[in-house]
Amino acid sequence: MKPSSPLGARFRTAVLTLSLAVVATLGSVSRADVPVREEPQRPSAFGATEDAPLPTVAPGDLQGLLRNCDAERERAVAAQKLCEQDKTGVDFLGAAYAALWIILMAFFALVAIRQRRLSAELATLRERLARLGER
Amino acid sequence: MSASSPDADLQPARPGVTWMPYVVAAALLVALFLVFFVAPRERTMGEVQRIFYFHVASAFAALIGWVGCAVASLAYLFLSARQGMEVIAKITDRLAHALGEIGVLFGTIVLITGPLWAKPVWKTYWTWEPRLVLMMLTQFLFIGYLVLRAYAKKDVAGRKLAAGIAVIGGPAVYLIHVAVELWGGNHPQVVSGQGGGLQHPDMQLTFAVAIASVLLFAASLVHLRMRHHAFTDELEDAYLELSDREDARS
Amino acid sequence: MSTLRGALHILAKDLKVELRTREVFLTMTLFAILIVVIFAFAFQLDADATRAVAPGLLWVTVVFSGNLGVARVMDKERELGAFQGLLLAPAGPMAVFWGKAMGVLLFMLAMELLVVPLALIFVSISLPTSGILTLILTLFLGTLGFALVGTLFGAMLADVRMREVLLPVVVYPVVVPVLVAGVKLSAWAFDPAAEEPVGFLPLMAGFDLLYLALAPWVFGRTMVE
Repeated sequence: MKPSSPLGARFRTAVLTLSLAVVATLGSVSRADVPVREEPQRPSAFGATEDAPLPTVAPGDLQGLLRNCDAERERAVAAQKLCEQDKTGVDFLGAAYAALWIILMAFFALVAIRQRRLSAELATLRERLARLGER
Repeated sequence: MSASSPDADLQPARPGVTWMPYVVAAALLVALFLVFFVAPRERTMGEVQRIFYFHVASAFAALIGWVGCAVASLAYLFLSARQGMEVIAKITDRLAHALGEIGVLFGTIVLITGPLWAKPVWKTYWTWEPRLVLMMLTQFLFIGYLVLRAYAKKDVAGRKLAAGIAVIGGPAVYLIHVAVELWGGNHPQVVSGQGGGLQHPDMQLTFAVAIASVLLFAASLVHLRMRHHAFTDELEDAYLELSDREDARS
Repeated sequence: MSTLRGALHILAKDLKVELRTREVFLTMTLFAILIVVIFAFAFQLDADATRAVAPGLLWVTVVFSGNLGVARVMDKERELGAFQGLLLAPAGPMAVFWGKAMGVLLFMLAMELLVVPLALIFVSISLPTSGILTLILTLFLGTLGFALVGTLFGAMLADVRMREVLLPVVVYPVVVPVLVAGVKLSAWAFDPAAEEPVGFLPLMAGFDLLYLALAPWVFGRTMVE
């Protein structure tokens, strides 16, 4: 390869550094600047497993009792909805892990086939080598 | 070199560390046990959320594989021009090839488990959302790399071409990431995101074990493929040498 | 500066051939016009749809016909086995890369000069005067980025059997940042009253700078024995 002139090398380094600076700045800025699109039916944060405990109600606080009652009903509705969701969800869960399994098996089968072909080639090589020795 | 020496060199590729597959299998089984029996049910998505553990771990493995492929290809292009670096250059080339293959393998897993999660949760298999786009485009790029690399076989020029594609592709992965981030989207921000994240300690444990075991699995697969490529190269060298000798005899 | 002189020689040679045959320009331009016409029919564009589709249509046209142009430019060298000869010329491989990249850039810009106004008329979208500069700048930067990556991959794949398939498979994912930024910025050019898309112009510039440095390096490492 023809050695590039020092000027060319310096120019290239400068351009590379500059571009890295631009791109790195962009990368750090991009996250902060972009408003997250609101689409409520698509949960984008998750990880909760339990509801927060209901506030304790002083005896005689009828308003508070009613509020807790409403909250409990809402939770029951949500739990029922989640059960409905799970009816289809479990199928998809199974499908995903089955797919994982199938892809890996296919990959291993491919590797095994190639390995067998290599072994066959090795056997031919040994044969030819032995014949070469005999002569 | 005596006539029998190529034969002695050529043992079929065995895993270098024989206990490694058992460790990997045990780690994966532990991870699967944690995913299905220990991690609690998630409250907004339900059981489907269990896809997440292996989905995200596979995405990690794929991205690490691709970036590693680009870095190893860069090293290969550097070293192949240096005198006396041939052996290391060959190793970087095989490493890049193996990393590219495993990256595409786990990329396939991500692109199939992802939609299966999205359908019940987002009510759609596919959406033009930054991370999905990034994953799919990178997958295409490295499939191109693999096709070119497979086509090259023993040809050094062809191997360099494939390496060039990977070197150009590495920074492109980051630029695509920036571009689609700017574009905006709503993929769950699990790892770096604000809000969310896994709250329950059992979930965190499961996630950590899943990532560790999948990465270990990926690493052992890369090792397996590297040995395979090394064996293929040696075998072809031996064939060339053999035909030379046969020609010399006759 | 012999690299630059060599590059200009190769560019002059390509331009001379092109002026006699007009092969690359005609192929690209006709293909681009066809894409515009087919899209306009297929999407049944009305006034509202046009506003949404026009920026995307513009860029699809640019990258598709650009791909065709790159393939043609490289094919012409490959057909007569001239590529190896060029690489061995005293000007050096860098001159070949820069010459070819400048050629691809010029052909694409010439094509855009004709096709973009035509496309605007075909889909009847109005370009406000305040948007003209944005559009020109965007098209130039985007075309430069595409020409760099396209020339590099086109040259690398020139001798590969499956190049017709492989070239787009590896070029399009890499140029997606340019595509995304180009679409966003030209949408703003058509409608300057809308909110300015932040960050896309630096993204394009960063992409161009990065590949301005990286593409010739990779070319030198992969094309030379």
